[in-house]
Amino acid sequence: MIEDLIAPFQYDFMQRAFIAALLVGGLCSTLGTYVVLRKLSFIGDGVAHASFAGIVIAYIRGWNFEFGAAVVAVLTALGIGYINRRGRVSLDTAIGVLFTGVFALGVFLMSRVRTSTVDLQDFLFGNILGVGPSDLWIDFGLAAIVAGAVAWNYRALLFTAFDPTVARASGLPVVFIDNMLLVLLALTIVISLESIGIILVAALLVTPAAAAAQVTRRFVPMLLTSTAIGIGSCVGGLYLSYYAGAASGATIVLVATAAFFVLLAVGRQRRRSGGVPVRS
Amino acid sequence: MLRLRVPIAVFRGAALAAALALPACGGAEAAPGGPLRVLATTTLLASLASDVGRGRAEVSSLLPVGASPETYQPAPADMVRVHDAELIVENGAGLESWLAPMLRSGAARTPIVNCSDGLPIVAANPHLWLDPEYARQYVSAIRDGMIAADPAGAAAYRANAAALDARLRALTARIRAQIATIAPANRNMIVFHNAWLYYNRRFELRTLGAIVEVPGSEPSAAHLARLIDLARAARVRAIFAEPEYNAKLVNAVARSAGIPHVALLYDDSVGTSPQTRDYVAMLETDTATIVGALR
Repeated sequence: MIEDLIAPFQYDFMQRAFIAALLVGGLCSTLGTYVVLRKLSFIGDGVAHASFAGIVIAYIRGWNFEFGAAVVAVLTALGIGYINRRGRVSLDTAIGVLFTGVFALGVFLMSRVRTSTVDLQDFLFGNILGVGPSDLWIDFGLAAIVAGAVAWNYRALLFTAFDPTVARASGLPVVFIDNMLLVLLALTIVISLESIGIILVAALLVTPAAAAAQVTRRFVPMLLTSTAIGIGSCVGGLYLSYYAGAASGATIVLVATAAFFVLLAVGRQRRRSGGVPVRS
Repeated sequence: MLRLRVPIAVFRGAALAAALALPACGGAEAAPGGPLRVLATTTLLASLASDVGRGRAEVSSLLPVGASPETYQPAPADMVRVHDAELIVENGAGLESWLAPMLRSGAARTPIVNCSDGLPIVAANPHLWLDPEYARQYVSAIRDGMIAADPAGAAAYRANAAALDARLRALTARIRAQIATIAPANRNMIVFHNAWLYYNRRFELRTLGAIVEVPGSEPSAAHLARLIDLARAARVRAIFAEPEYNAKLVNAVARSAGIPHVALLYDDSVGTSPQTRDYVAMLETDTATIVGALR
């Protein structure tokens, strides 16, 4: 048993994968609480696709790929917030409009580049097994920034997440908080994407928080449960993928999905027996 | 060529649909007196075909330099080029799965040279062109196709093909001599994707493993661990990859195994430098890269 737990660690690519799983898994599933409460579930996919345009532009202008992806991701995120406020559409619709538009811009520009010497889409999507030492430092820095920003604005984020209208009425800077959240999300998605790949980012921003919401409606327990499920899925999924000989990203997502269904059943059971008050 | 791009696949389908919606312009008519318009699918086939067609044919490559034939998606302009071609040169062996739908929409009567036709395909691996002896078969197939499409040029095509055939035979001999300088115990390669199967069989190198075994699939942690164990056990000297693909997984394996990662092998596409711009130069450069890393 102990040997089974230690075996994967004899390879340093697995050590780095576990550290990345802890850092990025924790980060994404923490932000996931806001994502689920603010109904931003498709932001992961949306920003990931939009950042492809950033990579193409960076390639054409000879800039750094990561820089191009981050700039376009942040602009897209701010655009999503703007459309949501001014365009009288919900956040998910704003995401849908901008994500397809910006991604199409990337495909359009790419199709006009006739002599690419690299496969640009390939450079956009990392794999948790390919995490390098420099990726880990970047992930660590990002986690510190996000944790700091969340702790600093904790109360404002809490109110904005649950009820933006009331938050605005009580004088909180809702637009600033919204934009800050969107920018943090964009940076997290873009950096996580290059580190652990698209399927993991998209899932970790939604599934752990959705699972946590099955058993609690209170903010702090939900945040902690979501983070715990995110980290647990990442570590458990990595072990499982190692012994099952399967793709690690997909295995981690499946473990998180299984956790969601388990907590769905637990939540129903507890509501039936009157353990948790049902919010109507 | 390997990552998960599930959502993007939707757009790829849309691009193909848009491309197919072009008005069908029917089969291409040969311009009397003009050069034979030959369209090769990849840059390497275009390199061979332009040598065979020198002086009579105008050869271009459908895929740009650096594009992966496994993940290519046609744009409307590509459809136009397929329609305008008088002869299409393809690798076959399952490499160009996207070509048949492009032809069906109007260029169905354009003659096609399938270069790998009749060659022994191993494990559905299409990279036969990297064996220069097989490339000689490619050259005869291209020559015959050009003669059929443009009989007036038969003598020129035969002379060009014979000259290229002699260069390829000399190339085989040079590569053999180069590889012979590597000690037999060091002739082990771990590669990003198994493009080197036929080359390695020809020149008695061993491919111990590939990071991506099936194009488009994601390797598992256990598979990477196995490769690292193999690399250590067989004292593999380097892991090889192409410059156009993401090197992160290759780097992770190389770093764990404590050996260098050589990301300069050209195999699916020629490069842009004079040392890699055509088939013969590219294979000489690749051989120098392999010998330099393993010797």
